[in-house]
Amino acid sequence: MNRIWLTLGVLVLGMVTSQASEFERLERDFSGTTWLLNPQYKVSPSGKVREAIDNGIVVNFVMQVKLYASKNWWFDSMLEHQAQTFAVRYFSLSSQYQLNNLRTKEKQSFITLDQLLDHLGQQTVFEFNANQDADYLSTRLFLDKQALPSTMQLPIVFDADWNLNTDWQQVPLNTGKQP
Amino acid sequence: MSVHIKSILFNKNLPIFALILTLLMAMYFLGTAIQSTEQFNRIYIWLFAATVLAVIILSLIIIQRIVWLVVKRRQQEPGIQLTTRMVLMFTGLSLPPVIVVYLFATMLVNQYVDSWFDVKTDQALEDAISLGDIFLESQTLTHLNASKAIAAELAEIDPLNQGIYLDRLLESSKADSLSLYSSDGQLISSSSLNPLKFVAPNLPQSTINEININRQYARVEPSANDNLQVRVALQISSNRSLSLGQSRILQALFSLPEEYQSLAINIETQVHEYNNLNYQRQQLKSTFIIILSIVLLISVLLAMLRAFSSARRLVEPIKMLSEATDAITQGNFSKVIPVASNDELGLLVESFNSMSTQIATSSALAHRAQSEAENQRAYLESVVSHLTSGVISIDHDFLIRLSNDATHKILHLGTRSLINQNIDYIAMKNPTLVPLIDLVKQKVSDKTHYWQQEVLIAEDSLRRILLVRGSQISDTEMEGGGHVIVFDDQTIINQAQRDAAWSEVARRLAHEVKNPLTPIQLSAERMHMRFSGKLSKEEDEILDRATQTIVSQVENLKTLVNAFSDYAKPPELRKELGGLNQLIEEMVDLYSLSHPGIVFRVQLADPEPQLLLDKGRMRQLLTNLIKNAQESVDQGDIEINIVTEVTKDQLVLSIKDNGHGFSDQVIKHVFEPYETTKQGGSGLGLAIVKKIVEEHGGQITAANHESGAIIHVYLPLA
Repeated sequence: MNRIWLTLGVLVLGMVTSQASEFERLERDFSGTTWLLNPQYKVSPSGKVREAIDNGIVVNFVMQVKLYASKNWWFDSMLEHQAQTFAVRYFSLSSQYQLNNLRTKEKQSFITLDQLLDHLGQQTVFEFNANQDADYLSTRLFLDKQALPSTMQLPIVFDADWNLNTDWQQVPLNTGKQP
Repeated sequence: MSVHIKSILFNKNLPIFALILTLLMAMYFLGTAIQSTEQFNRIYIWLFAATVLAVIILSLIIIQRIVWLVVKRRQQEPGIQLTTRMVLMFTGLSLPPVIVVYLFATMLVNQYVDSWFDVKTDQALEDAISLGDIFLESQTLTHLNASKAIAAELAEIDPLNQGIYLDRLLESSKADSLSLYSSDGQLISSSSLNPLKFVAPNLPQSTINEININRQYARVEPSANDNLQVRVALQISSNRSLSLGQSRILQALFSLPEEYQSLAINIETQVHEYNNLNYQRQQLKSTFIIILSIVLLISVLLAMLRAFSSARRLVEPIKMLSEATDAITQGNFSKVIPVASNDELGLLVESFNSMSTQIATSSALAHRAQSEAENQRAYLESVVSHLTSGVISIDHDFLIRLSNDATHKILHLGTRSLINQNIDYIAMKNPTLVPLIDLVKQKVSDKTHYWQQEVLIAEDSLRRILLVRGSQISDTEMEGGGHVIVFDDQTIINQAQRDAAWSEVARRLAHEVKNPLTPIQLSAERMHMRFSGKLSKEEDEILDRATQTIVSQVENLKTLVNAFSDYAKPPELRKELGGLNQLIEEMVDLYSLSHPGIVFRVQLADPEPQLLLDKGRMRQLLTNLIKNAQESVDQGDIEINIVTEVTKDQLVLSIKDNGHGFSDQVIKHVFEPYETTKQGGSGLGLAIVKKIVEEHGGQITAANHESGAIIHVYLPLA
């Protein structure tokens, strides 16, 4: 009985603490009426994820950015929300990994998975209309488990190796207000 | 409002509602999920979560039921054993088939899934991939060489004109497009076979990196439309006036021939799907086992819940029957059990209700009859208790079944109940009643139907005569039969009759004797006067003595006759309120003067109690008692103690002497006329005293003490 509780505890702890993706910084380019925001992530998938991709499982990553205007004595208001979903697929015949941006339909091939993930983590740019009310943004990157084949979803519910989610990261923009 | 919320929150059916809600939610998810594969993938985990939640709620309900079962078992509630058995039976019956199906399904899925994959297929697909690789490598090498030739041609051309030559070179090559880039990847010029749909291809950074290292890049890669293409990139080593920093990169894209393209895509797709399935094999098994386990759990838990529900439904009427039976046992016949079903249990409940109604009716009738019997019994007991005659009822075993208060008074028994005592108990309590008990036992044994007899009871100075009447009660009149005995104290009546007889005797005696006494006395005196002195001296002396004797005896007879006369016809009483102390002191003074030898010890009650009394008769009473006491002393000093004291409602006068006392024979009849211990006594003294006491409503007793007799007179206070 104690062993069961111990296992459950370790699982829950693993889910909470495991951070295979990590937010590094935000590159921003405020040019005129457009804001180009480039959240920088370091994505380090586990061996299980790599194995699944190498075995033909299409893995989706979702990167989200939300612009917020902070308010006193009330909840901050979300001004805009964008998300980009990337499908990572391995092609056996060409031995290449393909990164497919499902929003822009842009596909890129990479020789190694790490190259692909570097590109995903470093080169994803969100374009927002300039909004002077926005004073900070929230961003996160996560592995979309629900896009995995249904047979895989149950066994990985409590599997920390599949937890590539980052917490929501709040980054100030150009205003003096702090979130 | 809060009460309403509380009633919802603490509703015992809340978990069931939650379970139904969760299952409905799961069904909704299922309905949504089966609409498309993508929907299924998205909602699948929520469907599973809803099912797990249902299992958790169901488990909590079952745990709550089990706890309830344990608690009720400890309380030994009626029907709980049956509930336990039914739950165990339902669970036991549901488990084996579910486990068999579980094991069978698990085994089947394992074998079936494993059968999809085998080594031969793996090898075939790997071979196909290897073959495709070989083909693609040859294609890549061919296109690399062709691209090198183009790059060599471009190297001979002025860089400013290289873009113009691209179209010409494209026509002579098999490439789909040719592009020139600066060393940092900026597009300089591009040429395509289909300029209308042409989109300038980009040069990936990874390609630039590899060129910087190897000066060339040639790989097969998936194209934008998921076909395969060969990308070749080379650095152009210009022989013209280009500085080192202005080196250019040529990128050529080659698509595979149509016939090979479809084959390659087919191989890629099949390998992809095979690897995909192969990788998910273990996950598929795990998922199936998890889902099957959930189904197993739901089945077993639902069976247990159903068992609890069925058991409760079955046991509830039995429990209510048990409670109703207890209520009937305790005399509550009004309990009606609601009929909840039309099955055999409902029929049983209906029969029970009918039975309890009939019992209630019968009980009411019996109760009424019992009440009437009790009333009659109470009435009879009241009548019997108010009878002045003693009444005893006994059964054939001589056990007393009934006795009234008069029995205790007449037989001089205590207040302890005689009911259920043997009749010998009466003799044990009062040994003087032995003749009475012997008589009763004899008559009962003889089965005498009706009998009547007087029984003499001797209690110290009292002789009491009981008139006893008995009657047998047959078995038909009373269960077990018995005997009823009625008795009355006839002593007073007998005494009164005797007194009346004695009074008549005394009156006749006085009348018949008194009349001739005066002529006798006168004749004797005339005879003495006539013949006195006329006879010889000797004869004269004889005459004197004879005449004197006659006169003195006549005087005696007169005294005697007067006493008889007083006894027979006492003067009319003149009662007046007063005390006895003065009369006693007066009589003591009188006797002390006339009989100096008598020592009186007088102790009178103070304050003096008041009585209604005839002082003349009281003087006579005191005279007679003091005289009796004085005459009872044969020799020595005469000592008479006179004491008066007040009890509850009586004055007790005690006169004690130091004489010879009463003999055993005399003491029984001491207050009857002609009973005397003195020679020459009339025997009327104490009889007259008793008569005076009774005229004043009192009682008198006589007894002996250590050295003499003592008379107690009880007179009622005014």
